Amino acid sequence: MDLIPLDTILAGAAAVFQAKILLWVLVGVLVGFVFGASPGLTATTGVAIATPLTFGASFEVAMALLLGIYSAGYFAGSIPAILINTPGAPGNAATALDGYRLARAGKADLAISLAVVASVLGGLISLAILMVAAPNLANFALEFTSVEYFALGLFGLICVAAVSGGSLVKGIMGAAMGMFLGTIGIDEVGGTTRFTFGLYELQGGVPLIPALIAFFAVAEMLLQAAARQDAAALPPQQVLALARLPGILLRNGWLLLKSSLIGTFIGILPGTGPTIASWIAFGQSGRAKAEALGEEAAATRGVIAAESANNAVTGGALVPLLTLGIPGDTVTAVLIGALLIQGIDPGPFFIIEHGDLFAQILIILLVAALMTLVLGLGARRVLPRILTIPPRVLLPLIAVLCATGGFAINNAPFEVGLIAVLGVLGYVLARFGFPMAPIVIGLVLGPIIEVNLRNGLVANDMDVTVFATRPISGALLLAIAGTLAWSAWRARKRG
Amino acid sequence: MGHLKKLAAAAWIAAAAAAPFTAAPTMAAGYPEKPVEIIVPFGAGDALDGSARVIADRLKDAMGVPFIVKNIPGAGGGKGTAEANKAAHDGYTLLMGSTGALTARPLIKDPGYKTDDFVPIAQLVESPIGLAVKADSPFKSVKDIVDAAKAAPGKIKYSTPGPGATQHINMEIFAKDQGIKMTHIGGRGGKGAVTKTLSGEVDFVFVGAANYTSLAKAGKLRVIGVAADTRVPYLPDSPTFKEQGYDFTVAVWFGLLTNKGAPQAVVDKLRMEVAKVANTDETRALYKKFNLHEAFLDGAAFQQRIDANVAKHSVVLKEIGLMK
Repeated sequence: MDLIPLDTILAGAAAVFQAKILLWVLVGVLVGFVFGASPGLTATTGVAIATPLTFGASFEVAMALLLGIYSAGYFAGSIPAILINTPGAPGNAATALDGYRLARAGKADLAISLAVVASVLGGLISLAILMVAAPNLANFALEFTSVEYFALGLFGLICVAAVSGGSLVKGIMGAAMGMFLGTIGIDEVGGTTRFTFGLYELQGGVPLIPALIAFFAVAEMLLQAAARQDAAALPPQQVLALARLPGILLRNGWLLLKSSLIGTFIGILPGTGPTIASWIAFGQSGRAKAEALGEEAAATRGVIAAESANNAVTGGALVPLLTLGIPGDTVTAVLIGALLIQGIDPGPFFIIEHGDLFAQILIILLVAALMTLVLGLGARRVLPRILTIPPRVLLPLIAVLCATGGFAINNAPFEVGLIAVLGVLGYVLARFGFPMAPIVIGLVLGPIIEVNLRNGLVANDMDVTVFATRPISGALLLAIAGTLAWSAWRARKRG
Repeated sequence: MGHLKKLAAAAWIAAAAAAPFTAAPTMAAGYPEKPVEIIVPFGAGDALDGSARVIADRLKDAMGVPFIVKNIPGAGGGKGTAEANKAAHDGYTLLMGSTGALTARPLIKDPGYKTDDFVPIAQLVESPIGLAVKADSPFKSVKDIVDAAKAAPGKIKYSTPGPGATQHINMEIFAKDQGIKMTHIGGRGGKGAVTKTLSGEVDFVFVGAANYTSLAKAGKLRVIGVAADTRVPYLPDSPTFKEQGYDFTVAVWFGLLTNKGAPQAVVDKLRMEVAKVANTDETRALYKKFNLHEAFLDGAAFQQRIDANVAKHSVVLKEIGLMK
């Protein structure tokens, strides 16, 4: 596959660099900020709601609006994740762990700046990969059968170790609880209904967003309320000199690249998305090792890994969409409808027949990334002031935000009740020293592991050895075994 | 403890404030006097959702109140359909019903509604189902697959959107008629099922033909059997099952329904208005873009089709062990 010719790129740029189109990108980015940052609303919801508005619009306008939402939406959820431990979208949950810790230590400015820059760079790296290698990478996606997805799911579970804090045993128990929550609903292999206890609302499973809001935001609020902590007890917020950023990024350059590649590849795989990408990148960030360098250095690595990975999903997920017509994540699934209405059936011919439109998509994403950068860096000083609000005012506000977020998912009260129940459960578990993140990871990865294990076995006539003999799966299992052996050896050496 | 109480209160006030206003009984004559909700039991943005929004937009113009599309995805349409069943029986909540959710799911396990909890207004569109294999597959015709499955029972694998989906149930009906046994693997949606075929995990995929038109045109997939009466316009070279001697037609259909018990005058008015709106060129043009077939059936004909589907499904679901 040849690269796209330069004149096509230039023609694409000419089509995009018009005041009207740039304005629509800006509108998209702003809408993306709102949908990304509001718990309960996601980039997927934003793109879905905006799609019918593009029915009468031109291709450039439609893509400017929708891709603007896509690009900014995957980032913006990190802002509430950092400031109030409430991930705006599932893809930003991993960011909350270290981001919120930095914010509580008076470094919200640093955390937000890192999240913005890592997101934008992750997005740009994935965009470059989309531009030069889309058709070849699409074939890579097709190497993944149930067997490989199972191995990938298990590999993702390694990150439980990275997020377990003090007690690995409690982390594993939490992950097991999350995986149990993941079995609720209609079983995707056998078609039977499990553990719904007559609640029809649970047929589709325990939805991820209410669980995230409950285990992250509600549990943390209850902990703070119980501790009667005062905002004045928090260290004052420090201002970050922007000149320090390049140095921090350079020191973590390899991590940023690695996480962006992880995000891009996870994005390419259909049926996955920013949530899995950010947890895997977080697990691979080596932040545990960096703890020797101090908490700030470790937390820096966590934020960079999670945010570069989740935004790198954008370019990756467009690869199978634009080369096979198969979406790489939930937003690209919605984009199919938007493309169809433009008279474009995305598939193997898209890049060949519509090179000009492909170039426009690339340039719109580039512009959206730069706008996100400017807006994100612009907001980094203002937003941390939220942390100076006294908890007796802030916590009820967050509670209302959580409840409305839960309601917004289906415009129904069930999810609000679910948040309340799971939130109290999370609080009790947290009081007993259970970390919250492994529960959520179990809920995300459990169904992937279970469904693909069973499908993989059925597809291979119940032959267990395929998990070891298929190369990608074998390599992933080997990597898991190696990681476990290495940490066991390290633990023994430490005594 | 004070904080906890405040928190709980905050959460519940928010929930109560936002809860849908329950409808007071309205005189059918004035219908509609307030916005009407259309529940789409699938995610926003896809073709079905698009077609619902097309109809909503037209109905708004025709009837003078907003028709609001509300997406409640999950459980193969079961979750949203159950939600629609909870609504007041006044015709202010409509359901974009589909084959599997409406006529198979309630037979498998109580999903919170029965098929006859809803009164059909009109069937709107359908999507023909096709059987496709990977380009390098040895199977060139439906007969090749039937023969291979006869030679090695259970060895041929196929994918559909999921267990209990119309596509799955009907492929099992086909297998039963042919006296063969094949293994099913769910694809977690139509595109996922296509991916499993491209990756070689399964031998063929049986999903709505619109899911793979571009792949078929590019020669990555070969469509060897369309389960429709005639060939479909966007796959002119793909033969039907009928052409190959198999009397087998399957379509996923979508149509509007409302809760049983809604005033008859309201149902009649909706039937009349939807019929007018659906049978216009603008509506047809939009459906076509989504590769959906315009397939209007009035309330009575739609009811017959639903009943026929239920009768057929209950036989086969028992045989494949999904129905108790």
